[in-house]
Amino acid sequence: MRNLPLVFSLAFCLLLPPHTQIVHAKEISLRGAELEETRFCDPLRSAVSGFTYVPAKILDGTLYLTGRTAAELSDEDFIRRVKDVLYFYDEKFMWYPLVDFNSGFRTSYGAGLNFKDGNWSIKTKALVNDSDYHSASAEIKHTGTLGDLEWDNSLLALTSKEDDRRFYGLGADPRGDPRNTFTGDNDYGLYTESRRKLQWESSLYGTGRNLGLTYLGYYQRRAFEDGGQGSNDVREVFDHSRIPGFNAPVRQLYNELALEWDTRDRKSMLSPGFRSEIYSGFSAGLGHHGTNLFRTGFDGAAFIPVIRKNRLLVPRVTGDLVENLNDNPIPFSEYPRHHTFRGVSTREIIRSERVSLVPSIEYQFPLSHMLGAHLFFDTLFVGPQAGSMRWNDGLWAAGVGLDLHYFKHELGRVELAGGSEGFQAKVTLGTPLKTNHRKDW
Amino acid sequence: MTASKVFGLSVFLFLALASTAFARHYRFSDAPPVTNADDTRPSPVPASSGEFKFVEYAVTSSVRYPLVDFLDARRKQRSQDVNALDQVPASSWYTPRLGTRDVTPDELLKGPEVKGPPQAPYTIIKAKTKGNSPGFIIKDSRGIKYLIKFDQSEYPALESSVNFIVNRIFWGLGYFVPEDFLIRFNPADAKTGEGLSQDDIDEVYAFSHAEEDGTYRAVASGFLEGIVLGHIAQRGVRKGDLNDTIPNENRRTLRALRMISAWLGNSGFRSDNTLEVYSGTPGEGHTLHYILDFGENFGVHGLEKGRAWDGFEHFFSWGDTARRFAGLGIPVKRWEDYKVDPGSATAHFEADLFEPGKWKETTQFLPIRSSQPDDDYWAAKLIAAVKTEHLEALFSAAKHPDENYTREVMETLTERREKILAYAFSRVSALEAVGLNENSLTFRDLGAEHGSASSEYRVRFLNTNGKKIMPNADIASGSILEVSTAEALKKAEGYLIVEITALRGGKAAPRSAEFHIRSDSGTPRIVGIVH
Repeated sequence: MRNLPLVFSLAFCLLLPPHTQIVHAKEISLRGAELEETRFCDPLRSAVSGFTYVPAKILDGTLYLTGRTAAELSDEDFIRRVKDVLYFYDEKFMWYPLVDFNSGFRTSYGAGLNFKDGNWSIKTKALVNDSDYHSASAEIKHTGTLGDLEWDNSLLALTSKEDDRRFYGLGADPRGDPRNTFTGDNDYGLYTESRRKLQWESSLYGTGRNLGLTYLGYYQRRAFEDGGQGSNDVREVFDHSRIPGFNAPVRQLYNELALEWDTRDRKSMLSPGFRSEIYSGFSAGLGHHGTNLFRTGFDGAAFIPVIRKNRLLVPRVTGDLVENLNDNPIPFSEYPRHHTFRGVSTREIIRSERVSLVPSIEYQFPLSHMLGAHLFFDTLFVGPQAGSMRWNDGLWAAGVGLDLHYFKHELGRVELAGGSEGFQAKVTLGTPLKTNHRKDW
Repeated sequence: MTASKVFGLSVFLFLALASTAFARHYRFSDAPPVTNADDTRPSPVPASSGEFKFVEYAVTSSVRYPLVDFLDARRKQRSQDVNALDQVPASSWYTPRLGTRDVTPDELLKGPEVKGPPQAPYTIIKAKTKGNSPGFIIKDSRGIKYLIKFDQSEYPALESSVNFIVNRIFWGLGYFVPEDFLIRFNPADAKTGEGLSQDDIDEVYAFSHAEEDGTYRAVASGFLEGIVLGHIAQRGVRKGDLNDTIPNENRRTLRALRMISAWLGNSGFRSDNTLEVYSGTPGEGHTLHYILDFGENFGVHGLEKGRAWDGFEHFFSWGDTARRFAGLGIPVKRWEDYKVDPGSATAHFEADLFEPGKWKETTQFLPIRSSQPDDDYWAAKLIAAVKTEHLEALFSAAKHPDENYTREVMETLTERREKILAYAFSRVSALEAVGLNENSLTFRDLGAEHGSASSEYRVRFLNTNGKKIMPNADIASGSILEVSTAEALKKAEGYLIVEITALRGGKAAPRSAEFHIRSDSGTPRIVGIVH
């Protein structure tokens, strides 16, 4: 039985004549050959092709269907029909499906509905999954110009209930941190977060959107409960009474100013330049146990051409700090989320501490007209003070990714990362780069 | 050693031995070479292949075919539309002209002309604003339909000149092409047909370059007569066409487009630059295979798209992508340092960086990617037959207003041609038989004439079974290249294979030239040539 592949190979070798022997009557009459040429290794090549014959046929059929489907999707009539379905009311309204897939977590699905009329737009989204998860948001936005300046104003309302979230405890070394009381063996506890948010954002941009000043203000209420997973729940893993903010809703009123400077010609494709952002904000805790917080942080990256201008070395540092302004403890949900560290899922609060620093280095290079690749090495350090961060408590992740572009837009990205927190695979399609921006913490 | 290992080793040894045992040369029949493929016999009207869909084409040619081909370890076949003397006979795909007979510059200028240019007054029946060339479909005073393609306002006189010149070159090379003419289109001669508004007409004019006298320089392309069947497929034959028995990927006429397109800077070539038309009464006619849309040659495709990589890279290629990924993008290609002058119409048509073997069409075309050294050699011989006087006549007739443009393109064409010839002739033993008698075979080395000089030639004498019948002979390079065949003919018992390998700097050419000589019924005669 173990020799079956070889037997099949031989059979294919005999059944599948070498290319040079496949001759039609017409061909013989053109070439005038009584005997066709056969060259060295042709039988060996046939045998190898015998092994790959079935996979090749399957691949051929699959890609044929892919091509046909892609053609249908791009067909003008089809696009018109799709537009008729997706757009309505003079194409001012458009709806679209949404899928959020993340390995190891439940898949969410839903729909979005956009309205656009001149400078005004309204975006609404709703997502659910097969458990209690749901998320709905609506944003109204107005854009305009003021001389050489461009500005946006938007108002966003959001309500969500997100399950599958993971809390690992406070501090750089949660097991050794006295603020945590582990009652189980798990490293993390699952919880569900219910959130309501009303957000106002005003931005003013210089020519080419290289320089931007943004005001952000929101009211947000978060409430937490166990993840409903038994022994993996927060209450089973931790002494939940000692987790600040877990047992009562956290209500914050936040105001922030941010300044962004981006010198790159193209914001998403391989383009040399420099990008930086600094922000500072004040968060007033509402209610009897409300905690007043001061937040500040920065995100700086240089896109340095090496070899040629489309090979970029990107050193990047993001830092976030939260400072307690009264005696109440900082709720666990309000610690910085180190969104640029790629070694964990965005649904994991892997480290919770007052100061967070993510130094990373990335090398970006082109693969083809629309495809680029990047290698990255990210590190994450947290501590109660900037000076108290310890090298040994740092987390790291190294990986490789592919990104697909279409003109100036990033269409999708695949990333594989391995590091101190294990292996991560991420796939995003049609998701803007700022999905995991701190505004979505 | 276990039984399974012994079995596996036995199979491997069997296959390895079989590999050598099965190697064999062609044996050609004792018949004159076919000069006409006879593929214009009556056939029912074949099935139409439907309209061209770029996305499907791109997925198929860039993703599907390369992956499936990668899994097929068998060699690419030699071209099948070739006769015993390694020539392409006349067919519904090809008419032997340049390279097979004298074609005068005047004949080339006339090219495919039968009906001639459109006669005013015209009736505009359709306006075309999509695509790179704005234009109209018109009927002339005789009721004959033409496609009128104007120059874009951004590039005056460019596409019309290029289209006219390359249309005639393709005709000279033997391809079927539509009747294309350079004309001055006077709007005063045109009336608007039914269903068209003045806005439609004005939109076309707005995109087009107008001369000072209000006329428009344009190419008038005569509509092909017959039933349009669709574009030439990259693979296989057209269903229902009794004359179409050779898969397109194995046609030398299509494979030769690799060298021809490389020479002409035709990086935008795709299936939709071709058309198959059923000519004649249904049931009694046959299919003709055309090449069309020549306006984006000479690097115009790259110019209009603004792509520095045009002609150097495919839009997507598994191989290049994998190599770049493995090399972490560190290796730099020569074209990456090429400074494109955005103001120059010839910016994307150059000869310094041009390497024929590395030239690439933007979207892969399977027959081009299937081309073998003998196909490139045949194409190069055709290209070599396009002489400077031919080009001068065509450029003179094209009347491009910028003399510098004409001079630069002519120079680039000449330099690229020399590189093409040097490349294609170096991959084979570029030898052509010029004489045979009972004592000797005389041959000519085209490589030596075009930059692939050989120091000497090694000759093997084989019988019909490919078995060596006498010691090898070495011939020094010189003006007369002659192989003594008298003794070999006696020993060969009627069928002699003279296998000559050109040695360049002591290194053998990748392929030998085989001359198959029959002497079994009378005087020796060459019955087959393999490159």
